[in-house]
Amino acid sequence: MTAAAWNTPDGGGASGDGTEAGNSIVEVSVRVLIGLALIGVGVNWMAGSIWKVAALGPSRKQAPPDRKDILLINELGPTAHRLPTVPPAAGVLPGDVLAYRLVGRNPDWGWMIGAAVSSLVSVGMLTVLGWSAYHTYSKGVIDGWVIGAALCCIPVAAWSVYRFFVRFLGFVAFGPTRLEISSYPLFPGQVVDVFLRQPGQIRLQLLEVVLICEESVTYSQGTNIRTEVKRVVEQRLFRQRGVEVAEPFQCQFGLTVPADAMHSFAAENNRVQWTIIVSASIRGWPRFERDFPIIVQPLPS
Amino acid sequence: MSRRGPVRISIQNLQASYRPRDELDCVIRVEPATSATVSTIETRVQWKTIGKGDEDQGVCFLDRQGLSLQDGLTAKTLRLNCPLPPCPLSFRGSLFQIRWSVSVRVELREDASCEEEFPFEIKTGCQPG
Repeated sequence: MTAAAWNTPDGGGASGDGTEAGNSIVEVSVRVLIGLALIGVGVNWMAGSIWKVAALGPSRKQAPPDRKDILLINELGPTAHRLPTVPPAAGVLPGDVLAYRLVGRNPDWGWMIGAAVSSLVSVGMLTVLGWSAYHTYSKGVIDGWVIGAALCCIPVAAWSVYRFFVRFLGFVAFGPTRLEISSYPLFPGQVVDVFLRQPGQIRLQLLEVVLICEESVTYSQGTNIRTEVKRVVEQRLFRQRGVEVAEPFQCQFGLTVPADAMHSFAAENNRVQWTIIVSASIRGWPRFERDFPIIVQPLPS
Repeated sequence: MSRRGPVRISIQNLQASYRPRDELDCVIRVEPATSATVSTIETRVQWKTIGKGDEDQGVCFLDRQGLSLQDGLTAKTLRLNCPLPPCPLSFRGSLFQIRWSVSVRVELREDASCEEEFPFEIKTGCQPG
C-alpha cells in the first residue's frame, strides 16, 4: 500500500503517503518496542535463572566428584590439607584494620541494570504511543487502541522509573560495605573480631549485622527442579538505630561461631552455607542487604 | 548383623562414633546359605544425604572382590581397614542429614544380590577408640 502511494505523482497522494508512512513507522516502532520489551523480560528472566544457577555453582564444583576421585584422595593417604565437600576458604583480601577483608555478594548492580532496562523500554513505549496518539488526534482521528495502550503504559513506566531511581539513589547513598575479620576460615566455637565500615550520605534508621546459617536442598519434582532454603541459625552480631554514615560509620564487634555448628558443606543437591549479612533500613526506601559468605571448617582433630 | 535371603552379613569392631581421620578397622563376615554361591563382595565406606533434597553421596573406600566357585560356597571373612576423611561430619539438620555407613553388597551366582548398611558417625569431640 505504501509502495503504491509513493508511485503517485500528485501532491494529495504525497500528503496521504506522509500520514500513512508516519503511521507505519509508528506501528513498526510499537511492534519493535513490544518485541524489545518481551525480549527484555525474557533476558531478565534468563539472567535471573543463570544468576541462581551460578549461585549454586560452587556447590556443584565442590560436590564429591565421583567415587574414583574420592578413592584416589583416600588412597593417597596424606589428606590432612584436603577437606572434601567443604568449599575452599577463598574470596578474602588483606584487611586494613583486621587481618582479612571479606568479599561480599552485591546484587545491587543486577537490580539496577534490570530496573534501568525495564524503565527505558517502558518509557520508550510510552513515548512512541503518546506521540502516535497525539499525531492521530491532531489529524482529527481518535485511535482508541493507541490511547488505551498509552494509558496502560503510564503506570508501568512510572513504576519502572521509580524503582530505578530508588535503587540508584540507594546505591549512591548507601555506599560500599567493608567487613573485615580477624581470622579466617572459621571453626565451630571460635571467637573472632569483626570490623564494619559503612560510608554513605544518608541517615540509616537501623544498621544490623547478623550471622546466619542456611541449609538448602535441591530436589526434582516432576519436570521441575526446586530449591528449598531454611535458615537454621541466626545470631545478631551488631544492631544500632539512627546511624549517621556521612562520615564513614565504623565499629568493631565480636563473632562467636556456635560450638555445635555444622561446618560449611556443599554437595550437588545439599548445602550448608554460613553468611554474614549487613542490612540497613532507610525511611521510605527498600531495605538494603549485603551478603558476605564465609566458610566454617570442621575442627581439626 | 543381618540375614537377608541367602546370605548372612555381619560386622565386628565397628564403633558407633569415630573422629575425623580416625582409622576404621573392622571385620566383615559373609556367610552364604547352603544353596547360594557368592560371586563378588563389594565393600564401601560412604556418606550419603538423607532428606528432602536429592541424594548426594561420596565414597571414601571401595573394595570389590571376586570369588572363585569354590570360595563362593564357604563363609568369607574380610578385614576392612581405611582412614576416614576429615569431613563431611555426620549431620542431622532440618532439611537433610549426612549419614556415614559401611555398605556391603554381595552378588550371587544365582543372579541375586543383597546389600547391608552398617551406620556409624564421624564427629569431633567423641572419645577415641
